[in-house]
Amino acid sequence: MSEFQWDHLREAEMTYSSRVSFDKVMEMREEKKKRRVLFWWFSSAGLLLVGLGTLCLLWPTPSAPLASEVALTSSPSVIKPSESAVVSTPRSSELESSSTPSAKSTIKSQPIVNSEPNQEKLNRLSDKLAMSIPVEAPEDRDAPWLNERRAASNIEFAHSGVQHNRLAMGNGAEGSALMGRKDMASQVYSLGLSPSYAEWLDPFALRHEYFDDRLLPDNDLRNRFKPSLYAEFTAFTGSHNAINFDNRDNLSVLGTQYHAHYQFAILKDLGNGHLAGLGLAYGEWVGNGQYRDRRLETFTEIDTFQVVVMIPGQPVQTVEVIDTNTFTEWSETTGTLNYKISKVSIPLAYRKYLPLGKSVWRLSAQLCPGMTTRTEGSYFSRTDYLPLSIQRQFTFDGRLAFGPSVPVSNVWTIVLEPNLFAQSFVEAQTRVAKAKLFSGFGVSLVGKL
Amino acid sequence: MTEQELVEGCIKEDRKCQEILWSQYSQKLFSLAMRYCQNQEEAEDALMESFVKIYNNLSKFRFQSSLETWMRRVTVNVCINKIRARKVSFDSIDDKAIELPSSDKAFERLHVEQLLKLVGLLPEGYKAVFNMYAIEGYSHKEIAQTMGIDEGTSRSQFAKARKALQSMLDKWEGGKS
Repeated sequence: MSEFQWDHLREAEMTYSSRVSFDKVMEMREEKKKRRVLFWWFSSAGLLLVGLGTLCLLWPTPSAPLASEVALTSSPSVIKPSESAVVSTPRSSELESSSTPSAKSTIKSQPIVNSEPNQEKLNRLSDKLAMSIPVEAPEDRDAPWLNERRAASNIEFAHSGVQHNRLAMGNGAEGSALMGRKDMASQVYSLGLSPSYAEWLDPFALRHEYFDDRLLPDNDLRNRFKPSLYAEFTAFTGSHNAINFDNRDNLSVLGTQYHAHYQFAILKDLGNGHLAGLGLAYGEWVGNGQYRDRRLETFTEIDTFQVVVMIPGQPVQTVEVIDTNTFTEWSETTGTLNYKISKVSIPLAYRKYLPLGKSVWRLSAQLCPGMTTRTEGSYFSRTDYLPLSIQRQFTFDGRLAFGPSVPVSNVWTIVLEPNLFAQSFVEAQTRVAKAKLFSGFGVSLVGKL
Repeated sequence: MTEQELVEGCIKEDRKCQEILWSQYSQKLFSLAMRYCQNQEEAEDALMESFVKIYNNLSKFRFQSSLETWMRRVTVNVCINKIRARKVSFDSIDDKAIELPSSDKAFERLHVEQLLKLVGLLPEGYKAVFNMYAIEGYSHKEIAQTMGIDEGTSRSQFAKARKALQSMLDKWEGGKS
């Protein structure tokens, strides 16, 4: 065809109906602006979560008893000649007499003469102990250990001017009473081993360690059990099948979708087996399938023919008749569907270690706001598919897993976790969130930093 | 008012400039949308969506091509998205399997309106590729990128479109003789 013809086609102008106007376009613009604000709220919420996670990670050690401190208070009688604080608790006879409803704690502090660096840590420890003491508590006849705790609040802290630091506890029971706990409650939730009361437990040890802290240098005990950060490497995978053989659906899809995620996270021990933190994850999500599309299609057939018109007394004339027929019939098309979505996300992780019998199990939950790095192909569900064109799309995932934690060395534990993983992304054209739930399996390697 | 002044006015949200832009190009772009879309209603929606995108993204226009070419591209993209949302399948076939019509000369005898009508009768998949390649002047590589299909599929769709047009034209010619 000549260029002249194409130009005519290109330059052709057509008139639209009255439902289209400049004002209508301006109205549509305003509506889109409002929707864009909503989208930014959604992504801002993700960023806010990440910020909160970071804050949680960087926040100073919480006042709740940490695993190490709980263990410290539940220890057998410990007398270290190099500690300066003297904690004296009343004997059991005194406990009974002092357990009045209006019992109040009296805490006396004396100026500390000693200027050794360890003194500061010790002060922090005694502050924490003081925080744990109930000031006023009603009597509870059903819980005798609570009375014991109340009585124990009559502790006097006396920082002596002795040259060496000293932490003296009357006995193990009184020590636990300091924290308002019974021995049974003073458990160490370790990563990989079931807790054992009245034992010192290295969270990563293959076996329980008994040791006498008197053999340790000053404050080494505290340093050894200082709550720490953990590095976690996780790989997890899952699948989701889309199967539809229903003839009532015009479009039916038969396919399988898989995902594989790799993530690294820094976790902070929040005490009592709780860990929280955040990290970085990379994941790939692929789908392979087939579709069958049954549609009632309308076809147009054009027939052109000449009709000779003969009227007596008139010259013979020919008329061109164009006959357009439309007919409908079911047509079935089949084809393949493939897609791939790669993404980077920031997992906000929460872990809870639970002793179950003689093993330790871990509950993992995480939320992962993120962004796609690559999208291609046609995303599908059981009855629909959608071409993916825009590369950068906001994603939000969530994972729930539960499995046993197995120690493999003094530093590392492995957690084997069946998991459920929900993945979603906002389809950029329609601004509609698409989500899928995958079931699968994951392995985590947790190491103490 | 020059093209540049018009664009700058629109970027500054000058309603008068925006209205001039609308009145100058809306009918041309509507004609373009009609060639891609299934019906008038869909073409009208595509036209309004295109103008929303044009007004929102005029600041990204770098004057490397004419304003009309840029606006046509935006409109074509909107129309393609509408076609893709309808899940039109583009079957990839071997180029060599298609017999191309011998010449395009037969088309020259048609009027623009008749040609537009014939193009409008093409099946959805062929129509978009034919419009982009033959009328808008896209390369097969550009078509493949815009529509998310293979370059080979684009070529085969175009060949099929020409074949379908040829057969329609043959009927037309046959009816005439």
